[in-house]
Amino acid sequence: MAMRARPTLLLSASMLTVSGLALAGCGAPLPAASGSAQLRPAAVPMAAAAAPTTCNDGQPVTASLAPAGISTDPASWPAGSTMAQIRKRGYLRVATNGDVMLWGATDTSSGNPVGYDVDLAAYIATVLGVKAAKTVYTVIPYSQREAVLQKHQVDLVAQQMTINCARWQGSGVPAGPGVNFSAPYYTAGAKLLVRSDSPATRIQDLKGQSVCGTASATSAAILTSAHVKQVTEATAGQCLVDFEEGEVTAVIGDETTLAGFVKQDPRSKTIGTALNPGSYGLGLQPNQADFTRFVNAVLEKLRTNGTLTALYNKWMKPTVGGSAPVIGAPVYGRDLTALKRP
Amino acid sequence: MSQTIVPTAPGGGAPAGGLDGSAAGPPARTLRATLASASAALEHALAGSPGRLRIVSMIAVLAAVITAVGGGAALRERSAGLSSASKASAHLVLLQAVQTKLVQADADATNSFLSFGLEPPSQQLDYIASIRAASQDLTLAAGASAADAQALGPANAALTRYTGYVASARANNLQGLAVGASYLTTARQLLTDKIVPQLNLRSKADQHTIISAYSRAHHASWWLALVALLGVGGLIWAQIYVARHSRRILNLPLAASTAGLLVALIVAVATMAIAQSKADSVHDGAMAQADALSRSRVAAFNAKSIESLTLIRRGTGTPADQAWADPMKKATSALPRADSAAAAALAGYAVQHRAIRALDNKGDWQGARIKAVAPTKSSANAQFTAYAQQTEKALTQQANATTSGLSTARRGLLPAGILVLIVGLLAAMGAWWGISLRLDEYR
Repeated sequence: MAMRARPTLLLSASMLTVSGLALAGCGAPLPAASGSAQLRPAAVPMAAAAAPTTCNDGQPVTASLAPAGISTDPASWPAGSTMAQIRKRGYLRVATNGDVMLWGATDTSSGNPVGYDVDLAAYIATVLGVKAAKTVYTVIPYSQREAVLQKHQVDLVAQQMTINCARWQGSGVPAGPGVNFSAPYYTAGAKLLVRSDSPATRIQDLKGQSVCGTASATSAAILTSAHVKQVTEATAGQCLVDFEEGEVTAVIGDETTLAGFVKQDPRSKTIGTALNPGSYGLGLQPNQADFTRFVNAVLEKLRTNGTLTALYNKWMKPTVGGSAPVIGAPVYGRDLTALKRP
Repeated sequence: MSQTIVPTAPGGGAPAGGLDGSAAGPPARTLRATLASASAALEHALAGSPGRLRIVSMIAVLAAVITAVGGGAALRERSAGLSSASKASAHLVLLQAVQTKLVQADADATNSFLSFGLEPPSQQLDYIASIRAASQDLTLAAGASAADAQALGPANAALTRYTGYVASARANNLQGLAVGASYLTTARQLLTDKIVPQLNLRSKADQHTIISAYSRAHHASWWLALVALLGVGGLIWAQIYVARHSRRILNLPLAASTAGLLVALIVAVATMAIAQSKADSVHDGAMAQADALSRSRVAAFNAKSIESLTLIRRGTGTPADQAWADPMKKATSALPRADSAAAAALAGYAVQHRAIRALDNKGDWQGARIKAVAPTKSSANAQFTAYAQQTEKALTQQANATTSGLSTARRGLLPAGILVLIVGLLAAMGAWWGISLRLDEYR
């Protein structure tokens, strides 16, 4: 079984380096920062703790459950499995974003969310044998992602959700039963949104200017070390409002979210090297190992048949160009019984 | 060579008087003599029965003058108190109107957002009309005092910003851009964080003014009672004294003065009692009703906005629906019981709202959205509009009744005050005259 540890990120001193962080959709609870000593902001205590690269079961952060015989063929699904139950129900329940363009945003003509994450969920619905059009979408704030899975209110969360040990283990605040993750399907880090005519190329160029971010320790650590004026908003969208109103010079956020902002505001652009990259995984219910294995089987198929690349080309490329991030081969080997959950 | 300096009197003249200083010069002697003469005259004037009569006369005059001035002032004080209450209540009504119009506009803006630009034209027009009315009233309210200008000036500036955010929300929404929802959220945040607290601040100041104005008006009654007792009591005592010390039982001018003052005071007390009764009736009636209606409307429009925002922020609804239920409970409980039509419309709206939430909770967001913006007769919007129109009509009636009621209540107070002043002074003259007649008999 292929197992790969997450590569340690080493950033040059010319870039702002706070590694081991994951900026998930700007508003997600985030692990603490670490980084090169000379650049670590002493004033931000959160920055002192290092994010673990392996969880309390000894497995890498991104390790998930191997498909282990479960495939996209319904015949491979055990009787009474989660997949069978969803088929019987007739629709998939998905939690996603409603205001992050390119990833999960309400289409005003149909009223339904559209975007990369929504398309991904639609593929899973199709493989399950239920109509994608019947999918029940729930738009949730980032803070509710674990709760809706733990309360069995949705089958999966497709919301730029960063895989981390605290979520696997349920050791975040508040502690809980944790959640399962699929194998990664995307990697992204933090960037900055500035006006298209801005000469700035990195956060250090914005010294003394106001930069908006959501209330996360990560943003605070990055902004404090760069000596910029910090403006905090509840959501990334409100930061875009501040940016468009000219109240802030830049917005710090997940590069995928910022791409959606560029799509909405053509006089903006993203700058900087992606900081603290994290892997996006689909959030799954903590007790549904069979469904986690099934989703990983679907993702393997989508990865190998080029669908993930096609999704990038459909949603991200027209706005930010480039090519789909390399996410590498999936890492399996996690056993839920080995995870120490409260 | 030494020289003896002899002290001189001020002015450089020779020292006045002898060495013991007991002998004063001519001006001092004159003053002392005058004082001694006046003292002797006063002693003579107050000596014996005529002297005692003169003292009685002075007491009677003083009592009547105090009653005249004090009674007039008490009535003026009550009038001023009610005038202050009237002004503060008119200002309060204005502030409540601003708040209601703002939440009404917000409810329109959030609901039309769900229609993606295809809302009924009347909804957009209602938004514009509400903002215009709120802006006008806010300017008026800000001009009432320096404190109002200081608090409401920033609120007016925030209102301009609010309309800008709503316009951006609408423009982005029409283009299908997700940031539209963020503009709407920011607009509402501005409304709740920067405008409503300022309105509440000045509303509380108005309520405080009304309470203290009513209290001031109530205190005036005690002042009137006190000066009436003093005046009438003084005159009656003088009457009794004169009767006891003469063969005449009735001193006509004194009796007429007493009777005149008594009548004037009865008129004053009656006027004051009627004014207070009317003012209390306005306070407990129209003013309380207007306040209750305003509170109900503000809470109801808030609930309506929350209904729309819950759908805009898709998936944020909960089965308990607490964010909507709390203001809705306030809206229902504050609604005056007599307003059954509004209560029925609000209850009808609540039924429709629950149907909207049931659809959304089971995953039919689109169905819920369509139901939330439907303009049909029994729809949530139609029922809510019926409530809004009914309560607006009632609120206008009660607000007008408050202003006119307080104005009417204090109408007779100033004339009554002038009457007490004039009659009191006449009574003083009458008392002096009456006792002078008796004094003449000693000459």
